[in-house]
Amino acid sequence: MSIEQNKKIMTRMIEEVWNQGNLATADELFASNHTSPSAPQLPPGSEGVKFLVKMFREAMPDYHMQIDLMVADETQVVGRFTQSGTHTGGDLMGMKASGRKATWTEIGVLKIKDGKIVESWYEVDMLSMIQQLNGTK
Amino acid sequence: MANTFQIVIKKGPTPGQVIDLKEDEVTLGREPGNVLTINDKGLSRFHARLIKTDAGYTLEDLGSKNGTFVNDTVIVSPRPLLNGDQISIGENVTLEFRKVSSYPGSTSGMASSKVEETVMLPSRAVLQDELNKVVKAHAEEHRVLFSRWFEELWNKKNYAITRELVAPEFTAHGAGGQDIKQGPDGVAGMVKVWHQAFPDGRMTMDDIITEGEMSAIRMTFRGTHTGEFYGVPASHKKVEVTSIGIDRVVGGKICEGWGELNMLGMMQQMGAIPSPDQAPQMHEIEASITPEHVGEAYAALSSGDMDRIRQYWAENMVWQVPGHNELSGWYYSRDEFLAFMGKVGELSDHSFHMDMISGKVLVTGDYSVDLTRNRGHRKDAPDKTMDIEVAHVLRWRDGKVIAGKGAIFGDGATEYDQFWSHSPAVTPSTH
Repeated sequence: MSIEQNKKIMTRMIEEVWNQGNLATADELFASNHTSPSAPQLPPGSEGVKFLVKMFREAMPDYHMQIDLMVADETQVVGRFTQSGTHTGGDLMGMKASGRKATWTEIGVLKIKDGKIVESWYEVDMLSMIQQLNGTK
Repeated sequence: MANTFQIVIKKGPTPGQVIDLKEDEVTLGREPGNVLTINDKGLSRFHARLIKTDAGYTLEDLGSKNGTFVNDTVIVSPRPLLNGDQISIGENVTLEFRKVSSYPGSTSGMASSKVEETVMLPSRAVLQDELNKVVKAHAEEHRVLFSRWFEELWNKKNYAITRELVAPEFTAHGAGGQDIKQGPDGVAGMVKVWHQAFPDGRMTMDDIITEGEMSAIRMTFRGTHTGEFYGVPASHKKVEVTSIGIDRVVGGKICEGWGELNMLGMMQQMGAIPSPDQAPQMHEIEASITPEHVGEAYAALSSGDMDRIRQYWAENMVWQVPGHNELSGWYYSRDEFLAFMGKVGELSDHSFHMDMISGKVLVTGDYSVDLTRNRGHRKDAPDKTMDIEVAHVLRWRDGKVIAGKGAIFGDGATEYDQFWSHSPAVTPSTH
């Protein structure tokens, strides 16, 4: 895949799956044997990302992810994101809705083969998000 | 449209000199036999050479004493040169490689002061070939730079290397909430925080993805938490933390970085934040005090070697001896505890000994429980013996015992009190 094609896949995952909540796009983008070493407890394929998208979008109806920058080669694409949301909906990582707003960053890596995401890694500043939502920051 | 190539001496015996490259092989060195002779003692006799390719020139070191550098990165294999690359040979000589493009009909051999990159229309194949070479050259340059970064700075604690690899205007974004100061000293300061908390720490580069001047790197840090880390006191736990960084490299130096790491997972591994999953995590079980560590603490105690004892028994420890005898009760410090052990030795003519019952050590959280068989006889009364099983509950902090209690089962409790009492072992022969 070209650099541009790989960046397009990353952009679709963020815009369509995360920001619009279009879970069918996740089925299209992720290979059925996709796994993430960053979250081995999640199911394989597109089910893992669908679970996370549902959880965040139900907890934060105004959830939004912005792509700050992307770096890619022929096999992988890396993105740096800034996310934000107000916790007014369902539980999030054991926390009840507080009405507080959080802004936090993330870097993710997608490995792409034959046009599908086969493996992914991500590091999220979850500590900052939790501290903002529980009012300790 | 034609491309010509030039070397400009930026620093050296004849600064400002412009050399048009005409030959297919241009050797550089101190000897007059070179195509380009530069008389500087830092150069080897035949130092490096430029080889013409379809796209331009490739630079190769000829086994020189002081090495050949492109944009401050040493070259280990032939390196395709890009317009503007800075070539350093020896300490005193810097050359700039320049590509001069011109349309047919324009003045060839233009003055060096008018050198500029002009957009041209080469064949698609040549363009693709050149692009591939540039991409590979960048990727290789970044891979070498970051390998040195991890090995020298993170693993060998060579903080001075930040001055070589980090631009003065370096700025960091993110990095798990760490406050990283600007420039080489800021980066060195951040790495020092990690080294003080994890002196045995090692960083490995798991993958690198390069596009132009940007590189993304996946990495893993592993170390034992023996010093304070961002306010979290030493937990003596083994920590493994992954991170991903994106860095912008210009002129061989890192000038901007974005980073994210699993700080939450790390805090959980160090025990600073409870894990959301109440079940003990695999890494926590591995990382807390081990049965072997408990065994070593007892071995240190029986060795009598104070240096070893200090490693395992905290100065402000407390210890409770069970029973209703003259030794029973609380001992409030390591010195008092050691005095108690000394008294036990003295009263038993040093026959008292504790044998750990093999495999009978349990560890959970801060606590360990071990089972020992304690035996001995009283001084001047070899037939007044004791042989009991004792369970010790030890509480650990920073790898040392801070509190301990003994518990004796069944008849053992009576036997223990009897042993330390002044009563004879058997009915006196006079009665």
